[in-house]
Amino acid sequence: MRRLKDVMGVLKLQHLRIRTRLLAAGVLLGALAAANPLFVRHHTRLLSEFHAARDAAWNLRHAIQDLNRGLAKAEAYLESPDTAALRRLDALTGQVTAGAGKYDVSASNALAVQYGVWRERARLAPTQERRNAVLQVSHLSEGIDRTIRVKEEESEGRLAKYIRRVKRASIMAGGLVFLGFTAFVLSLWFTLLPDLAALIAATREFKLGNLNHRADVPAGTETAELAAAFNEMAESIKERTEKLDETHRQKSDFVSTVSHELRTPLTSIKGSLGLILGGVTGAVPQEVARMLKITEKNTNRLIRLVDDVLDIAKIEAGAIRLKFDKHSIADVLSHAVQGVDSLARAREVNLTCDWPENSALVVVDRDRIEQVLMNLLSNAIKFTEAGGTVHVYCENEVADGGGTGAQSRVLVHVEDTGRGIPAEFMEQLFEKFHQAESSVNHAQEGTGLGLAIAKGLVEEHGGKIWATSVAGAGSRFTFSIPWNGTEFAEVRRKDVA
Amino acid sequence: MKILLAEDDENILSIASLALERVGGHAVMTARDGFETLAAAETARPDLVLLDVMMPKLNGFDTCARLKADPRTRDIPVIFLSARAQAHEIQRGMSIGALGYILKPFDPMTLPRQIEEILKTHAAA
Ligand SMILES: Nc1ncnc2c1ncn2[C@@H]1O[C@H](COP(=O)(O)OP(=O)(O)OP(=O)(O)O)[C@@H](O)[C@H]1O
Ligand SMILES: [Mg+2]
Repeated sequence: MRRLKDVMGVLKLQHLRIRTRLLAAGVLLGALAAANPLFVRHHTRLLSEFHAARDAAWNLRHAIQDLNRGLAKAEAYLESPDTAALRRLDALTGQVTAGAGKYDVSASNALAVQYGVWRERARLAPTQERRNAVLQVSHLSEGIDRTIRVKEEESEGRLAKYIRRVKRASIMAGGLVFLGFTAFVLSLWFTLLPDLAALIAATREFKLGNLNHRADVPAGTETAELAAAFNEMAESIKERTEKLDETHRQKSDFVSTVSHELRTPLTSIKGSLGLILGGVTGAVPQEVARMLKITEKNTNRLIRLVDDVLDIAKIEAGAIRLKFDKHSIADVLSHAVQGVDSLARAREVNLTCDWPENSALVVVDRDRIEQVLMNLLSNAIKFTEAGGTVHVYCENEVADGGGTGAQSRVLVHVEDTGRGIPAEFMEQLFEKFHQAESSVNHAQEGTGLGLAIAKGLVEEHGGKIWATSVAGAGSRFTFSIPWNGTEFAEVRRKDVA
Repeated sequence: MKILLAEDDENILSIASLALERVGGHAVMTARDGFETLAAAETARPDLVLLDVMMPKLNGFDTCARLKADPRTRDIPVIFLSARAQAHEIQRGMSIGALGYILKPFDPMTLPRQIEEILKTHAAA
């Protein structure tokens, strides 16, 4: 079972790995969608247009600087009224006209102010030539104004267009990402999820003990590799489990055979002794009878010892097979009490039994739990003086379910008012062949196997066993049995009473 | 009561017969393996078969199964008397139609009473 747990662990890890891989694939797909060639091309074009516009603006700024410098010179020429200067002004005007196509708004405003000043001066200037020159400059100015306005509108239009395009492109990119994601989810839904589901189902089947179940995932898918690994692992677990089962069977068979071989001669001894002592073969002289009784008592002891040793051997070899069934714990308790009733009577010990109004339904091997109880009860009776009391009772302990991992259980207590257990012996209490007094008081003979067997059997049920004791005042042995916390026997205590 | 006692161990055979005859007052016939048991059950028609498990040729479980499969012997009650004491062995014996499973070593003085009680509980049921 531990091996299976390991495998479940590995599988969980594999699932986790697949999940992270899928996530990474999703992210990659998203990135791919964003970098879709169409989107990239569109963007590149827009970007190059934008760059061109930016370069044009850069050129414009330079041209304006040139123009300003030229106009400053033209102003100087206006001041000096010789013809050479005017000619130079003409040339400059030509240059300015050529550069005018690249003006911008603020420069145009500045120039307008400048030309206003010039126009005023030209009005006061004496010569016709000067007036002409200034008029020319004035025309030039208007021309520049116009050009700039056109330029302005043009670049505004371009900007608007650019913004529109970026918007469109963004929407397209978003759409692509969304589409990609949807496609990814759908592909998960229709391909990976069913495969994973098949794998998980296979794991569950396997856990339930169907070792022949294999994951059926079509080849060529992401999970096919994992499924193959799972199947391989399943195969090796199956082999190992079968080998283990075989070893268990062999061990169990061995114990069976040894048990049978020891019991057969003991049957003859016990049988013939019984017949002789029972008077079947004729009268037995008293002295002979006394000796034969000793033989009979020790034969019985030997038979018990054989049972106990074989039980311990089976428990230690892990070869014990429990036959689990649902039982009312009260039933098990009262049946065990009946079994030791005559012993208690013979030793004049009061034997009482009690359980909660609702008796829990537990899944146990009834014979084995009764064996545990018999061992505890026979000890309690054995180690309690006449007139003392042995009380057996149980409690339902429901887990609070607060995520503490605590499991509901039934606690069974066997309490006595006997001699108690010395504190220094508590540690060895459940160890085999350990007894508190090695110089055995022969009225209380035993082998020291009872508690070791009880512990082994309780632990086979997934429970625990422990004891508390006050030397001289009594002991309380308690064992727990796992319980689902919700199921009760149908018959309630008060119905019985 | 006519009891067919199937047992391969001579010692146990004589002890058990003595107990059944002298203590229980029954008539006892014996068989030493499974096939002898089948033959005796068919011809002598006993009131009860007391069956050991570990016997040569045909073991007790198989013998019981054959007795229960044969319409002529089906109704003869079978009780196992065996040193095979493991829980699953007892379970197997009870699952193939036996009324009871008495463990060896047994107490010869109470063996007849044990048998009576098994038959009584079965008759009541
Ligand atoms: N209720 C009890 N009161 C006092 N001492 C106890 C009690 N139960 C057990 N012990 C001590 O623990 C020892 C071990 O108990 P355990 O049942 O394992 O062996 P045992 O009873 O001596 O022999 P066995 O059960 O094999 O016949 C006992 O010998 C006894 O010393
Ligand atoms: Mg004991």
